[in-house]
Order: sequence, then structure tokens, then C-alpha cells
Amino acid sequence: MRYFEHLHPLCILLYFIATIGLTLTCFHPVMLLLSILGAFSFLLRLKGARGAARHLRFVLPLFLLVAVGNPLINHRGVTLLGMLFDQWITLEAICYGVTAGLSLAALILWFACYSEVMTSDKFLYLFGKAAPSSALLVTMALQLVPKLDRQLSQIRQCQEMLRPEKKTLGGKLGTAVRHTSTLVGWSMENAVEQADSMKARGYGLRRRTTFHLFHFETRDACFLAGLLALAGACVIARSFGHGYMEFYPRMDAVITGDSGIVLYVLFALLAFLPAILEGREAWRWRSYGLIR
Amino acid sequence: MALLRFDQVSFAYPEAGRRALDKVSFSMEEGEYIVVCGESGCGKTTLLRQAKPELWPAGAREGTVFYRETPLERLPGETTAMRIGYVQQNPENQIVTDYVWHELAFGLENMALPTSAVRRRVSEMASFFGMEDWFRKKTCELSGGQKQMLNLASVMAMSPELLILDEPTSMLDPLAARNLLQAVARINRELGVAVLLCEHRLEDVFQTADRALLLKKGRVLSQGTPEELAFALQKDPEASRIYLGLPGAVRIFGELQRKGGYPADRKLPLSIRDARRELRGLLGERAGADGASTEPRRRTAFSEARDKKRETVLEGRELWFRYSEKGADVLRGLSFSLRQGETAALLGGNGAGKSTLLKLLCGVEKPLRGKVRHKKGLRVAMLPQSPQALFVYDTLREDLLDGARTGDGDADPSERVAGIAGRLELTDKLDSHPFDLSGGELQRAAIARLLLQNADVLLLDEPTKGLDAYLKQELARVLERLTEDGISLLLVTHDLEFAAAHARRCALLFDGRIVSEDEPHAFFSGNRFYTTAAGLIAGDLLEGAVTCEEVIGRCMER
Repeated sequence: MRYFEHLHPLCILLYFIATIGLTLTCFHPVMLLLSILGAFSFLLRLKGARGAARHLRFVLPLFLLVAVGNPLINHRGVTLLGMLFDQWITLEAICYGVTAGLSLAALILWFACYSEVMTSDKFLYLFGKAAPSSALLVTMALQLVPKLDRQLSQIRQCQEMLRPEKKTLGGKLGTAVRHTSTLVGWSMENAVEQADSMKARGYGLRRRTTFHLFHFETRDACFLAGLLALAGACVIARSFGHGYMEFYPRMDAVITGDSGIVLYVLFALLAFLPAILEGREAWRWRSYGLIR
Repeated sequence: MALLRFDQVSFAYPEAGRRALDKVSFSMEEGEYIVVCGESGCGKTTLLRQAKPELWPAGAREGTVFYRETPLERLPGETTAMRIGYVQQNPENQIVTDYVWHELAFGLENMALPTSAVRRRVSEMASFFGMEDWFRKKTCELSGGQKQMLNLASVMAMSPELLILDEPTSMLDPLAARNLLQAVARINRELGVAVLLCEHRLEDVFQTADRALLLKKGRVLSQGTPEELAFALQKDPEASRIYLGLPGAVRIFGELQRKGGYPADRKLPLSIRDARRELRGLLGERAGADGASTEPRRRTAFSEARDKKRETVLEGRELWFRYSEKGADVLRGLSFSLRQGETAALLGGNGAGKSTLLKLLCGVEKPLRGKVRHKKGLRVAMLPQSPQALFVYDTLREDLLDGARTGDGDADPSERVAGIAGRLELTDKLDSHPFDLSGGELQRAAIARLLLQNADVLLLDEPTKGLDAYLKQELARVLERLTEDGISLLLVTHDLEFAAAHARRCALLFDGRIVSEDEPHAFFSGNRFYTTAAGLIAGDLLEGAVTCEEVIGRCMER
């Protein structure tokens, strides 16, 4: 189930730009619902049911907060439904809140997919050519984080052994500061050796290149062509005003003619593309199992 | 034409009293393998760094180092970066990037080679070193041995003609160390790359090196083939402290030679194989007859009686442990006990769970099942593998004072600090920063810190890592004194020689349990392969001999 992950980084980046961009610009419940479903089905494929559900735990309260909060604060709109806490509640404000909540949820889910798929090496490959030394800095930082983490936990274990932690806030703060200062001293010591190792391998003699392991294959070209066609069509439909709703003072119709429906279908295809591709890959493995 | 030539090279660090290098001259041919040996602080690292302009330390330099008869300072930076490779001591700190493949390419990226060229070199190196399985791994997921192998491979990717290694194995366990040294030997034999190596694990290096260089106080004391050097050192053990680090075979036969038990004109054997042959010849054919019994002995009656007299201070009963819910079991119902004032050694391969057991015993981690029992009021302290983690202040004195204050007792803290510093020979180091101490000093400082805590039991995780043979002896002396004061010690170690010579009891940890446990002689002579060099040489010929001294003694008796 690694079809999408193994595409060329450029394809992956463009895909996320297209979907996230369209999610941002299409403020419309149907579009956003499609977007959420697409992102969630992708997340299911990537992390499994349990991993995807973990994201929902964070997204759902946020969605509710926006959906419930908006009508309580915002009283625009013409369809009055009733009074709550001496406030007029309007239908338009409720619908706007739900849509805004959907938009937020869709963005969070897409970014969750992005961070899962777009690993640091892909990111560096894309942006490393423009700024090789910044790219190196990012790699070094990424390498350093787990190392510091390990060292800090070592320090913490040792120090806890030496003196049982003081339970007061001041005491805890004091120990944290002391641990950090040890960590800084220790890693400075290590940084000297790292600098030596970089110099020894000729760092700074010439303008660096950035090595990568990626190939641009035919399937990447096909994917890119499909992506551009789909996203292009969506953008055109959006520029004709489809896929966007005004809520105040009166709501637009949810479906605006045949071309509106065409946009929904196209966008659904785009949003579900990774899940479809991953699903096809999974199906292939299943069939192999049956044949053998 | 020599590949590398030192011509009267002297070097002094700023504000240092004496020269770190004093008129060093030697030359190195194409494809030669030279090992530089000498005690800690004799200028080995300074010498190696003189051959790599990028790493020249700041200080006053005299004389010239020639690379193919061109002075190093006149070579372009690209040439020295590509042609002279340098691997340092610490495997962690040399890694720059986050993926293995990227690390391999780092030097080539610096040389601004195009991707296709880099790809070829990187794949060449990965397959030479057998790294295919972990080629796409993150560097932080690698073991110490793999990390150092990666450092070696990423230097080799630049296709150097001279490879310099500064104690590359001092942070590795014996198995990983041997792997690395074998890779270095392969590079030398199969690729014809010249190797300049400093190392205190001479057992492995002496058999592969073409030439050895003995350094003392910044001067070249002698040079020659390893056999010649070993012979010369045998004649005069006082000349250098590295005598203690010579291969077991050399030490046994050298000593015998001096005592007249072995013909003076015979060549000294370097390898275990040759030593066994010589010993068999020496003991005559009857040796096999009274050889060790094939049955591994259980605990001897003597040791059992002695142990029973002592009180158990720390005990783990049927301990089970794993780090995560679905993770592999690290300990599987392990039981172990430590008695008052004894030194026990816990041996076992990598990942056998030795360090985990220590963490459980000192309470840093809690067992999943089973119980850890202390004698009432007992204080357990652990010396971690990186003692750096124990120090939080700017000077050693402050750290020790802090320890003296938290450990109870009515004595004046500064007096206690002075006392312990005197006992562990740290008095003149009290005002230095803990991180400026050398390996051996840091180890002693950490022990001092733990003792000030009034610890009754010390758990030591790999205390001999990175120490040369002489410093190991010093450590042994320190530990001995501690046990005389009634402190119980449990050491986890890979160092079989150290355990054999200094522990009262050895235990082998395998598959999450203690599989054998005995007094060292019975323990090591019961093992056929997992034993000391002396045990390998003489184990089946002289029963119960596991240290060089014992083998020598028994041979002289005959």
C-alpha cells in the first residue's frame, strides 16, 4: 500500500497544493464534505483504522466548537429559529458554522496526510536545489532531534536516580533548567566532533549539490497529466462561481445547475485519488495471494 | 616515493608546558598498514591530526608533513578532503545527516559531484560494506557498530588513498569492534588503501598491521613489525604502559621467556592459534592427558560456602520486562542476587538485556512482573554508559559538593569532597569542567559522585569502555578499594579479561535469563569459546587457568 508514497516528490507536492488549495477556496458544504471523506479514506489507508481514529479525536471537538460557536456569536441571516441565552439563533449562522467547521477539519486531515507522506528527504529534494546549505541545516536538525531526545532522557533518568524529584513547581522548574544546561553542554561537546567530521569530508570547499534517490517514471508523468486535467477543470468550474456559497443574509442553493454537479464529481475524483490508487495496490496484493 | 612522510614534526598546544609531539619522523608507503600505539595522552591523536590539514589543532607547529612529497599545506583542499580520509572515535558525533544513503553521499555532495556519479559511488560502498539492508534506514535507528561502519563507509565513498582512524573501536563492544577492524583490513588488502590507525585493542590489530609505531610522550620510541615491537616491549615492560594491552599470547610467552621458561631465541606467537601450538610443545604431549574435564563444572564447593556467609543486599526475583506492550521480552523471569561486598560481573551479547537489568535493579525502570528487593535502607546507584549525564554544574567541585549535600551525614560537605577526591586521585581536577576530563578521569569522577550519595551498591554499566589497558588496571584498583570498604559492585561488561581478573562471580545473561553463574575460574574454563584469550590458549591444557598470570604461573610450576 505504498503507491502514492512512492510517486515522485513533485507529483506528491502538486497533488497536495491542488487539493488543499481547492479546499481553501471552495467554501461549500458538499465540496468540503467530499474533501474530508477523501482525506479520511487516505488516512485510513496510510495509518489504519486505529491511527486514523486518533486524528478524529482531535478533529471532532474542533469541528463542534466552530459549528456550535458561530451561531452563538454571529446573528446575521434572515431565518430566525429562536432565542438561546437571550441571543437570536439564525439558520444561516448555523449552516455557516457547520461549513466553517468542515473546512477546518478538511484542512487538518489533509495536512495529517501530507506530513505522513511528505517525509523530510522528499521535502529536501524539492527545495534543496535552491538553497543547498539551508537544506543541509534542516537535515542536520532532523538528525539532531532524536539524538537530543535520547540524551535528555538519559540525563533525566540519571538525575532522578541521584535526587528524587522535588514535587513543587519551583523544584520541577529548577531541575528542568539544570537538565537543559547539561544537555546544552554535552551537545556542544559533540558538535565540535561533528564539525570536524564535516570539515574532514570537504564541507565548505565548493557549493554543495544535494543527492537524492528519486526517479521520474512514466507513471509519474501519467499521474501528473491526470492531476493537472482534474485540478484544471475544477479551477475553471470554480472560476465560474460553482462550488462556493454565500450564507448571509440569505443562503444560496446548494446545487447550482448541471455544471455544479460536474464540479462535485471531478472534485470527488481528485479527493479520492490517493485512496483509489492505494486501494488498487492493496487489491493487487490480495489477488496475488489468491493466485498462489 | 613515500605516500606520507613526517619530517621532524613537532607540535605544542597553546600554553602547554611541553610539546605534544617532539621531532617525529617516519614515512609510510603506498598501501601500508601502520598501527600507532602508546598510552593515553601520549600524542597519538595529535600525530594523526597532523596528517589531515582540515583537522590541524591550533598551536605551534614545526617540521613538515609530505603527501607524495608535496607539503600538506600546499595541497589543494579538494585533494586532502578526497584523498585523506579520517574516522574519529565517537560513532554518534560524526554523523551529519538523517538517512544512511544521505550520509554516504555527504562528502561527495561537498565535492559538488553530479547525482549520477554520487549514486554510483554510494551504491558501490553500500555493497562493499554489506549495508543493503539498512541503506534506507534513518541514522538514529542504527546500533553503535553500524554507525561507526557508516562513518567508515562514508569516508571510503570519497575513495581516499590514505585512511586515518583515531581509536575507531573504543566506543564499541568487542564484536562490533572486530567487525570494524576486519572491514579496515579488507579495505587495506582488497582496495590497497593505506591505513594509519591508532588503537588500544592490540589483540586484533597486531595480526593485520604491517608496521607498528610506539609513541611515548610525543616521541617515537620504536618502530618495526608488530612482532619486533612486541619483542622489544617484552624485554622492557617498563618502557610503556601499553605493555598491559599487548595480545595475551605475547604477554604469556614474553613473560615465560624472561623467566627462562621459554627459549630466548624463539619468535613470540601473536595469534591464539600459534600460542596454542607453542604451549602444547612446551607442556609436552602429556598435557592433553590431564586436560580439563569435558563436563563444565557447576559451582565449586568452596565458592558456595564462602558466598553463603555473605548477606544478600540486592535481589531480583523472576523479573520480566519489555519496553512496550507489543515489544519483545527483554528479561524472561530472570533471578539474580548480589551479596554484601562482592564484585559480580554480568556478561552477555548485545541486546541480551544487561543494561535493562541494571535499570530495574536501581529502580529507574519497574519490572513488568517479579520483584526487586533491597536490604532495608540500602542505597543503589548506577554508573551509566555515558557518565556525562551525571554532571550538571560547571566544575567538578560543585557537582561533588551537591552530591555531598544531598547524601546525608553530618560531616562537612567540602571535607567529604576533599576526602573522596583524594581517594580517587581527582584532587587536581576539581576545578575543571566535567566535560573536559579524559575518559578515565570522567569515570572516576562519576564514581566519586555516586559514592558521595552514600551508595552501598554500585551498578556499573560498561565501566571499561574506552579505557586503555593501564587505565583499566587503575579502575580495577579503585573498585578493589571500594569492595574493601564493604560496597557491593555489579558490573555489566563485554570485557572478559577484566571480568576474569577482577570479579568474584561471573554470570552469563542470554535470552533474558541467567544461564550460568559461577566463580570466574569455573565459569570461564567451563566455556569453550566465550572466554578470555588466556582461556582460549590454555583452557583445555591447564585446568582453570583464565588469566595470563595464571597461565604463566602454572607453566613455571612444571
